[in-house]
Amino acid sequence: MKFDKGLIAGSSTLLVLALLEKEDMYGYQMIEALARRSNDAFQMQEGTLYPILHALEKEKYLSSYQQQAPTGRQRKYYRLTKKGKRLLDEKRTEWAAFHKGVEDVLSGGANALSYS
Amino acid sequence: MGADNRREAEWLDTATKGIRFGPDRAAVRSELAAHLEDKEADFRRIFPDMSPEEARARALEEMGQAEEIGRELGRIHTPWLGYLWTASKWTLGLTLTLALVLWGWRGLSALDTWRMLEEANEGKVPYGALVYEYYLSGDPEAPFPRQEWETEVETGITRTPIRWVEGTETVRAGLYALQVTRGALWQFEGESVEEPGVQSPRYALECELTVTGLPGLSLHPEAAYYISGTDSLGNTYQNTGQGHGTGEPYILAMELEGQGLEQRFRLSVWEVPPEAEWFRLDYDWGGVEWAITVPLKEERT
Repeated sequence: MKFDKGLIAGSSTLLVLALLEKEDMYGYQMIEALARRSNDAFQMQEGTLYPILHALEKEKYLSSYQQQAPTGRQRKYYRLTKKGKRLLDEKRTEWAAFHKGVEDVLSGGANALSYS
Repeated sequence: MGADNRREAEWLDTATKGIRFGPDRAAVRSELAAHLEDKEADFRRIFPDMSPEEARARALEEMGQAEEIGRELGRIHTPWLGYLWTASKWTLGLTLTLALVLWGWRGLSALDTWRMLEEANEGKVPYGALVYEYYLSGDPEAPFPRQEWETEVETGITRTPIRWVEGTETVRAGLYALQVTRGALWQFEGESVEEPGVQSPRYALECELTVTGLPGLSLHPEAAYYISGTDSLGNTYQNTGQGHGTGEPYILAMELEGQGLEQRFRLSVWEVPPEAEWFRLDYDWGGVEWAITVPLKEERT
């Protein structure tokens, strides 16, 4: 299923931070993990990951280091910083509230406005 | 350069042209090129009948629009920090402050090929390579073993040193001094897990470049991407920024753990011929030039 680009763009920071919460990863690894964990629901244009990563690193939400792959190639690994973990927690809370709000409106639930 | 390599090089150039500071541009280009290599390798693994050219073309398609990515990267990578570093060469006060802050600085860890060099006196040394389990097992939940560097899985590859690097004279450049301290030209035999079908034997030069200088005045880790080379047979090797991902031979520079005034880099160069008698490193960037000729000896002394 192809999602609206706006939906993906709005959540990409949250997705990247969440991927790095448990382990450090390099860019291609993140793309693979994103596709795998979402059962291929999220398949982004892969190069667009890097401006996101670099922006997060610039703001110190992520740090990075180089490590050599067995083929001799260098890979740049990203790691979540403490500041990044705080941002992740904020984004999760924000997402949960947003998600609940959307669900409530769609389902016409208890919190939805109604006139009787 | 073939048409596909050219397309890839053009894509990388466009995606990074907005990054004005040279070392940053080289580093980002290298990162994107590594991604493309991984993507191509994946296509060939999943579709064994796919040609390398088609794999490369599909990998490029899935990367997205280079212009758009280039605009975003250019916006993020502002050059003023890089120029500040360059300007700090002329600012002694800033340098002394940096020296105090960075005295205990530690660089990055690396696979201990120097231990392999020491052990190589006994002949062939098994080359352990981390195997990405999920590639082999097909299990999507298999963990990446990259954190377990101490655990090396035996592959079919062996490596033997066939020429020795035993230290060069010290060369002075700018406000720092450089020396190649050790290394070897290695012969690799056997089939790579990650690159099955790649012809054996293959040869790679690995050597350690030691740079001594005050922090802020020494060789910037990403400026090491500008080191190119020539061997005694007239073959040339591009620097990391130019060569990575193009299929042409190049020098891969990786920063190792340093201490105090000393930084160390590992330089790896694939496909240096076994009959090469010396290798010259060349650097010309930011107003600093140097060259070091590294003899490749047949006998270890």
